Amino acid sequence: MKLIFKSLHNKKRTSACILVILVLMSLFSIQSASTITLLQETTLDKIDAANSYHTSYSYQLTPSMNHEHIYNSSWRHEVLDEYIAELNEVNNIELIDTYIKVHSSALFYSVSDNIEEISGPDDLNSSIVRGYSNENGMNNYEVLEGKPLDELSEYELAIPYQYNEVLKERGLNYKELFFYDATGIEPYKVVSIYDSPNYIAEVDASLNIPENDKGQQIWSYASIDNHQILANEERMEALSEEKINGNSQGFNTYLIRLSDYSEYNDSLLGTFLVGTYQNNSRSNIETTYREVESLYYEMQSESIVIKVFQYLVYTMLLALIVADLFVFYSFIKRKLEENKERIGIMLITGIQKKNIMLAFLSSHVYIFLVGIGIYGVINFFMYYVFKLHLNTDINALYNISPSVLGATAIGVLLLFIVICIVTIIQIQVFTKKGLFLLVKEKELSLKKTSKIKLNFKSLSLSYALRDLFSSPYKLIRICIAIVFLLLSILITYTSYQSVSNVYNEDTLGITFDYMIDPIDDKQLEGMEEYIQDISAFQVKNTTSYMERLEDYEYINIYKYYNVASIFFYNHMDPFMSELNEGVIAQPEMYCYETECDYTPTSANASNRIMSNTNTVLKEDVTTSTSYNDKIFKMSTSIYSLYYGNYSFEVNGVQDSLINDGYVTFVPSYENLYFSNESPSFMFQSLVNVNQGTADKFESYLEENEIEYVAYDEYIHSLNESNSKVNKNLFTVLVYVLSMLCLLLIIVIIANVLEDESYKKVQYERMIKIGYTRSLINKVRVSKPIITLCLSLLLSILLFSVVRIVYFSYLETLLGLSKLDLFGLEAMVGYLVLSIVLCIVLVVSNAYKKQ
Amino acid sequence: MIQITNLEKTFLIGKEVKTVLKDLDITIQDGEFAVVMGDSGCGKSTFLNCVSGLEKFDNGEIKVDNICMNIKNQKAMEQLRTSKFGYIFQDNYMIDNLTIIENVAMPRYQFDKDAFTYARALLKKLNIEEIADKYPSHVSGGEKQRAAIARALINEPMILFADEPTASLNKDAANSIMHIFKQMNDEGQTILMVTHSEQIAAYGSRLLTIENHKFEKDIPLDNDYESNLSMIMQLSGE
Repeated sequence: MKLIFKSLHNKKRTSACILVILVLMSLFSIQSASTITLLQETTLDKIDAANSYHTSYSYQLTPSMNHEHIYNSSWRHEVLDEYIAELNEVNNIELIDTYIKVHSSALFYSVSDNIEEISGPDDLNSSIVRGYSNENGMNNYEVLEGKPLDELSEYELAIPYQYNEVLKERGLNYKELFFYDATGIEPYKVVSIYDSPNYIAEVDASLNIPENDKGQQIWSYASIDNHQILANEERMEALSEEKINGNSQGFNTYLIRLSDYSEYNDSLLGTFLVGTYQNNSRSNIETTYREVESLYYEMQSESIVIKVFQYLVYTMLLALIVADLFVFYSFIKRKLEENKERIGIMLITGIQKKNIMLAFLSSHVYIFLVGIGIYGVINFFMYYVFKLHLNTDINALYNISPSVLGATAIGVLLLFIVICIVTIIQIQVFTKKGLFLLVKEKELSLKKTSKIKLNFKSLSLSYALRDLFSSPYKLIRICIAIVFLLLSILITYTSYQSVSNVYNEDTLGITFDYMIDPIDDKQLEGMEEYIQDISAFQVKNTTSYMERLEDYEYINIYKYYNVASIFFYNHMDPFMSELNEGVIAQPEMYCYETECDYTPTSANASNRIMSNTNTVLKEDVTTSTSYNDKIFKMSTSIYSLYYGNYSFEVNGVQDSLINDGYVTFVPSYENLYFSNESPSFMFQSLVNVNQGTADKFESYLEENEIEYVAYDEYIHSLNESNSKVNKNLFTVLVYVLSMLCLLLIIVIIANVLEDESYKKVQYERMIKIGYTRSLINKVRVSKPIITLCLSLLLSILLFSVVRIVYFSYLETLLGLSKLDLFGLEAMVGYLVLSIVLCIVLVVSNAYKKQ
Repeated sequence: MIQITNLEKTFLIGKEVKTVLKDLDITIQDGEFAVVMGDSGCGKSTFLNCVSGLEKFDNGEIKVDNICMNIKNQKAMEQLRTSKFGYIFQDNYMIDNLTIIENVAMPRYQFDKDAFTYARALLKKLNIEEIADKYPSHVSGGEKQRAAIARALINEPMILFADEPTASLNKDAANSIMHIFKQMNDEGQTILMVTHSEQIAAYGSRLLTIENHKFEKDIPLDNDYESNLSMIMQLSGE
């Protein structure tokens, strides 16, 4: 064996490196596929693993409460305590598993150097801190660094890993950060970093950390679960007591763990707490509200991200398997051709074929062992040194738990076996053609002459074409591998483009030419000649709508959505875009005698919501902000059109791929522009202009210094926000695209190397008998270019069919009513590339006639 | 003993079927040194390749020690090549990244760990012991051909097939190689050799000539080289 191995050993370092890289990529790809298959650990799984809470329900005790509540605050505690405690029993359900009440407060923080600048709460950045309590065994968070959470002393804090990551990104060390309570006497220090499963995805988006300038104080209840800064519970309780006496910073939170978490059960609890308890005459608590975003938002967005990740990971795995097989096949073919004479003479002299096979397979073992060794080292650094697994998104793709490693090992073993089987078949086929030919056959002539008549006078091009088409199976094999990779690249690129452009006319639900700043009567008069449709609108983030799921014991169970509602004060019809079937959904109308108008509580949801739920939402939305204020507080994570650069992140709280639809379009029965009253200076307007007047309209706006934004610009800003929110997803997409491109390069190199070894003797002989070296070089270059052009054209043809099915799947996957059909530009790119390559080929061949 | 009955071999060239060997019958006895001669393209190398299992034949039967050779049974053919056949070609086909001793010992080394000792003894017998640890690129053509003989003999074959073993050597080297062949034959080694050279053929103990796809002449040779040579020259002259 040793001698056989030695005789077949070639010092081909480049080939070995390529193979090791391929094996390494395959290992990581299998690991990712195993992770995503075995450990699709959702937030819910993580919450269950940490025995943490599913949802929380808070109420604030503020000076704004009426005196009765302030004085009876302790009574209120009891009522809510009592209600939650009795909820299961009274309703005869098994809904709440356990709950705890913890105290929360606001702390103000500063970087150490700026301590002296602290002057009072109004000038400071604040953060919500919650007392840590693990009553009932809840919240068994894993501490990654520092003190156990239940040992936090009075002025000590614990921050989640993700919070610390944001600090690091901003160049801050948690040890430099000091927090102060309202008294501002003694600083709180961060002593622990822990792994939090609850609502961590958006920590970056709402984290309130001082930057260079002193930002405004953010007083966000929603931020409590994003920040999740934990403190000593007794200390927080003391602070909560203080607030009753006039300090406005404290509040209490019920952390509730459901017996069996589901979207329905979460909605059921919400219905009981928001609806039933809210309306309970005993409670009548106007400041009670659901404080955190529901877990089902997170779960829905996670489900999409996991599906996209699954698609990416499996595509890459498949591409890698194809590339592995192709490249190993090519290199073995090359090695067989190079060692043809040796193999022949070995077999003739009595060396057993199985020993030759073992020698070939042992080189595979060597390649795999090197790959596995490097893989182990990289994993060690990634896991133990860089702790990448703690990143939420990477964790979805990367894990080294025993089950994942076991599955990876099985996957690699299977891959190895498949490659070995291919190699064995190759050797069998190779040695079947007759030992005598192996030793004697030196002239590698064309297998058959193909009837190719070319107008090109260039010998090299026709030679290359004949050479390629004389081995049709080989050409097909190479083309299949390249076409597969090109197709994967096209599809991944298309996915990238599509998820980068989830906001478009079809998905958003409204269209307009311009959105303009508030205008007065005179300005309105001046622009009337350009205007086709106009409607004043207002965006309110304080609203919500409820989707009725079903009845439970005569109670309507609602799923609650936080929405950005756009209130139209004039006609909304011209601005509504069509649904899939070309229908424009109409909110409910009511008619009185001959006068018809919209029902005050009716609204349209975005096309996405309507398409997904197959309904037009026409009830359950209220324009009564006072009513909504009782239930939902302003969400700082939804930025309004009104306040923020004419764009708003309709992404909601977690992930814009799912929440893009959480916007409603509400018609108003008040007609501002066409009533006798003047339009409010408060409101912006949506405008459609008459055909051909866009330039003049823009000039008018600029002359009158009216700020405006065109529709495309607006959509662009929405997509930019979306990309920002989903940066991890896009990073993975770019990574997969890069890997696929790398694989394509490897496959092309492997093809060229294989062909070179096969034709080496022939080329050398051609040179000896008088062919010029330049001719040979042209043939060498022409062949891969022709193959690539052919593959490019084939992949375009295939993609034009595949894309129809694919986009329909992607739309379902993302829950979007319609996606922009990208990919055409990539197809045009492929076409241009193949034409350019052809021109290069023809021109370079035509100039130097042989 | 090798018994060949009704051997037929054809080649397909384009759409044309070309017959090379047809209804060929011959028996090679143990201890014979059979030499096959004939014009270029008459099929002597094809005959050797078919008999030695390097090429498939279309019809007929080849028996080695009364066992029918089945070329489709790769395992059985492998067994034959390992235990009963030895091959020498015009080119020596030494593997250039193995030393001479490694080249020689390799076929035996897979089942006998003492292969190197045996290989060294063979090299000594063929007077090339001093090149044992050299690489093929560092030794002469004649020495490489002797090494190739040693490699062919390493598994103590029943029959040695030689296809123009001296064609690429000069006269002295060729004669030296043929003396070795003669000596081996004297020691009982069966040899089936193809050559176009009368001088080389004269070393054999039996002369076979192929004409019109079959053996035309089958003449026993004696131990006298000169008389063998003059007879073969005479035959060639005819």
